[in-house]
Amino acid sequence: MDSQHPDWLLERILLDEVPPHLLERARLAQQDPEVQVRLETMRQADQRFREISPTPAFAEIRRIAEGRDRAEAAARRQAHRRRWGIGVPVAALGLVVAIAPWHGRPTSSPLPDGRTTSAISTGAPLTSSVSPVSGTAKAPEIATAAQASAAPAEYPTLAATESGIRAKGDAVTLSIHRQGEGKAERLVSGDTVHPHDLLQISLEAQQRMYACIVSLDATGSLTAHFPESVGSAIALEPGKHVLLPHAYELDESRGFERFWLIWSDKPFETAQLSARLRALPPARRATAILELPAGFSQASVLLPKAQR
Amino acid sequence: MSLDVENLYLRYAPLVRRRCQQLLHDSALADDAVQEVFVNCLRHQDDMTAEYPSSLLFRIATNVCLNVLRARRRHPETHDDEVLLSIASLEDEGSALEARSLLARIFGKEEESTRVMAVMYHLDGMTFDEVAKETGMSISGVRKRLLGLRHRVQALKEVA
Repeated sequence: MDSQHPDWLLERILLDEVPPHLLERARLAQQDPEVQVRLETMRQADQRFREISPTPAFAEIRRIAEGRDRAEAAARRQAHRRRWGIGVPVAALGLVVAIAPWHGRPTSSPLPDGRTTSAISTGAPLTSSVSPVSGTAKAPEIATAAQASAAPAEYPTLAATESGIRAKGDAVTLSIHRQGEGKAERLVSGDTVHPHDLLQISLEAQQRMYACIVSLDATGSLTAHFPESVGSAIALEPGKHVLLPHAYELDESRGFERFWLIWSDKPFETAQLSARLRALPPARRATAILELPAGFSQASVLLPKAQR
Repeated sequence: MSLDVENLYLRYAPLVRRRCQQLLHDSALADDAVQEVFVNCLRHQDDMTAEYPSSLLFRIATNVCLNVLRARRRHPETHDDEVLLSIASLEDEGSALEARSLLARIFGKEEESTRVMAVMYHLDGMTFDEVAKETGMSISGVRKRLLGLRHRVQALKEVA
């Protein structure tokens, strides 16, 4: 960085936002031919930015912000209901508390097959948003995924990328795209989906880890996506983009589809996870955070469903 | 009066992008960070006022990048990286403050993040006076806040 004429000063000059206390410094800087070159380079970069039509990019930003607002509002409502004992029977909470540690003997019971994963090859990658919460080894956590995304200092934050949504603070990116007419639309938390939408899931880890992805709908129907049946979590290699082999076609059920990504740096079986998700009472399927052993992290994305 | 975030984006996104690239050295991460900056602006737009939006966005971008760096814990490649990562990993003064939203400070509800001030001072080369004016604090306040960080960061500078 040029300490005599730093970038931040040139930015102010370029934007004509030089405060009084910097006027003299800015005047001196502008007498330097090198500064003029740097300013011109910045002007050209700004021009290129404006030429690529930034409006769609901002529309995406607005969509993400609105999605987070909706998710946060839903979380507040849920917390309010819990506070007043509405919607979550005490017995159900007790059930969650009593869940045994996850690393148990794997069961061989198959997943309910309310829907099938359609064997549809995808062209362009499809997209979605995750709300990560890591290491919930304590008592049943009241915080929701939405709250996680709304608290930048305490929880990993999320940001959409060209390829999906990165769960910052955790070394994995989960993407869900909806295949549209000739294009793939990135989905974020709170985005509405419809029956027969085709969703493509992909993920990429920044470090070696084991992961699984399942989805749960409002009726309690569970679908395994990665792996595609109950079994061992799949190892992810750092930096390797994994596109699930099949797009997933949403069925006619109403309410929502919630995708869960669970990962750990050690191998694990998915059967216990399935059992825990199945045990969630209906009122908590949209907002619950799983109680997991230390060393596990989870992320979920909630997509409300509506009829066309 | 709150600011129109879309107009802010159209005018200031290049500045924010350059700032994020400068701190993160990674185009994809910088793009993420730009998006995060303006998502946060949208979600706090009712609280946003600024005589110089460039200054406000510069600080928000710095804060977002510090969070990214702290989360990634990557290996520093340059000396400035090392200083920046050390700042990113530092806790701000006061656990109570830290427990609140860093953005709330930037949006004027809390005092400025010490980490952001440290970046301004140690990496951007601002003087105490300039940091104070940028953040609306007194010079003595800035000096006091940075004192706890100064020795550690200075030690890193001298090593290189």
